Amino acid sequence: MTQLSVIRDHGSPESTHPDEELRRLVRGDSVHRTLYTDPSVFEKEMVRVFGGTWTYVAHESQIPKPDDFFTTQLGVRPVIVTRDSRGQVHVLLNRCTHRGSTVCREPSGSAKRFQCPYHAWTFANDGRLESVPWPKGYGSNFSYDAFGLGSVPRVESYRQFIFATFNMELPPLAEHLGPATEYLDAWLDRYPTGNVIVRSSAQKMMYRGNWKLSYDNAADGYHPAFSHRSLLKVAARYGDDRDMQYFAKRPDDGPLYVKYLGNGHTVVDQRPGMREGYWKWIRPFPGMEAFEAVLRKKYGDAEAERFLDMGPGAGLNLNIFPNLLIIGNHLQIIEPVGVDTTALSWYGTTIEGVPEEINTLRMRMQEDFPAFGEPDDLANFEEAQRGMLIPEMEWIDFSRGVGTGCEKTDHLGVVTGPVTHEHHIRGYFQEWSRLMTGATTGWSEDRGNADER
Amino acid sequence: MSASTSPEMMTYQPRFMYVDPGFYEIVKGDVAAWNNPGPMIAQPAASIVEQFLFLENRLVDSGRFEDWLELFTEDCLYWVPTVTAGVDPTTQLCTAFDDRRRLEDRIMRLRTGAAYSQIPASRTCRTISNLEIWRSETAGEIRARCAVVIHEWRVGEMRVIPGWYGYVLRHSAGPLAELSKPGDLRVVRKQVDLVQADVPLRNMTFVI
Repeated sequence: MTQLSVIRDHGSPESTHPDEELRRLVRGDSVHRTLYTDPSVFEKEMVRVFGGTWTYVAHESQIPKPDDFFTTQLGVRPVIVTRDSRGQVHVLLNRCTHRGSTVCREPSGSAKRFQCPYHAWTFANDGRLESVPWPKGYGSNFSYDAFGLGSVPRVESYRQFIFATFNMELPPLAEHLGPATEYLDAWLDRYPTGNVIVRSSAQKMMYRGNWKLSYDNAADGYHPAFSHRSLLKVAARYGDDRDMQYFAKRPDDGPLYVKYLGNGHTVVDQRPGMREGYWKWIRPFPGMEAFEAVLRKKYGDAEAERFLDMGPGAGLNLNIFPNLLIIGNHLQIIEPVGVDTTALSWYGTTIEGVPEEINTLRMRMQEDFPAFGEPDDLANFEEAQRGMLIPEMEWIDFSRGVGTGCEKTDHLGVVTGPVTHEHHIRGYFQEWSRLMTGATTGWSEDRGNADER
Repeated sequence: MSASTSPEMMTYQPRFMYVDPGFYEIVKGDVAAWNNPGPMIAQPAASIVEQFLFLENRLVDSGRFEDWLELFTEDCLYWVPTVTAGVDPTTQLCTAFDDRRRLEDRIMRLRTGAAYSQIPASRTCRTISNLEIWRSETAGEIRARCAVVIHEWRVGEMRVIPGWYGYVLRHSAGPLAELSKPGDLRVVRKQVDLVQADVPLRNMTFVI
């Protein structure tokens, strides 16, 4: 197999910030604007964070059968996620070992081998080089083994979510996910087969802003009352007790909470604010009443209501660092493009063991937030990116909750606090710092802010 | 389309009962129909349809969304798929698959004064061309398909958004030959197929 040099890039000489300086960019209560604006920081992230830690690449339902493949990016590296003829999953670097061209240019499909269109070098779907045209021209010592496609050395799945990393020092995936598995399990265990299926096309969006604006926001329980005011005003048309409206009613006095789950993972748990019965409190959407009537007629009230409650999202925002955001029923994937450009793919999920009507309803429900909520966030991200270009204003504040004594740390190191607080965002920046520099800044929620100022 | 309205249903808004499994079958029929135009309808009806489409597009470009909504029937659909082939809204997410109620929500959101994705609002100019108009398989309805290029200016950037529109239009004033003015027409379904339907799109919160 081809020898990879990527992971040895730590501290490459061309970067503007030496590691020591990078560490100073993350403070206990704020981070430096260059985390969002400096191309050299972005380049390091694309090695040390994306692929430097366990990074989500695909869901197994996207490659259900032997010889299926799905192309995506690991950071900015084009990769092919394949299932070989024996069923083994690989994450192959989509780069011909000859001249560097991508060998697969289709978004997904089924293929036993990939032939580079440039000079027709042909690779098996497990990465092995099978043939090159007119091999005599390479002499008798040519080694096919040395020219297999590069592959990400560690690939593991947790309940069909496929992650990959170049980092040989990390613990196994399940251990790395740690307390986040409790929430992922809860999200999946609602369903009859304990799994979701990703078969729909995604809603894809692009914004002019750094990828971390999305990751910050995914855990931010402070913004909904304000950034999503337009959505909440529309929701008010249907009463004052619908999904998400609890964010606008002194949320810190209520039962909602946010947690730092370690290794950069965070969660916003809306479930304690939701009334019993997911279906009853969802905002109206196309087909809601007609399909409910069909299901009640076909299955009777009790069975129909059981199915209908599997339609709406689970009231969790679970954020697996750095790029997998579970929001409602979606898998929202952060796809960095450049320091100030990010794509977001919102993959819809369907479920098995329910009438197909439920999955059609799920499609329409999942179109709500991307149309009525997310665009206002994206506009705010773009304006934040503009504001962060001001060199004289250096620091981005994440201090909410500091000094309030509201955060509680348990024996696993999980930190829980009121839903608008930001301890979990500070937590993920500590993980960012550790990945980027090999060390944290030494900040601890327990010690508070005193020794940082 | 079914219209069963049990007392329990009345707690919702029964006029939105039309998006039922049968409705999806009708919509799937549209997907095939757009690539198989029938015989083109003749003048003067064709010219009246054209004027109606100019009006519809001008109202959107002018930000007159309430007036624009008046052009749609109570059982309408505003649909923007996320794929360019193999379209099936029962299994796919769409950029929009709005019934009348959600379309009203969409317009209402733009009027809240808090829709930051449209503050400031996009300035748009759409050009439609390559118009084909034929009778629908449903009595009282016609189909129109045209190419569109939307130029959009917002916050320092000009974007070009190409695609095509498929319209199902209902004429209320009797036989097609008696169509006398654009006001005799209403939009039953508007489908927007973007050239870039399946690639990451910037802010699409203006009406497409």
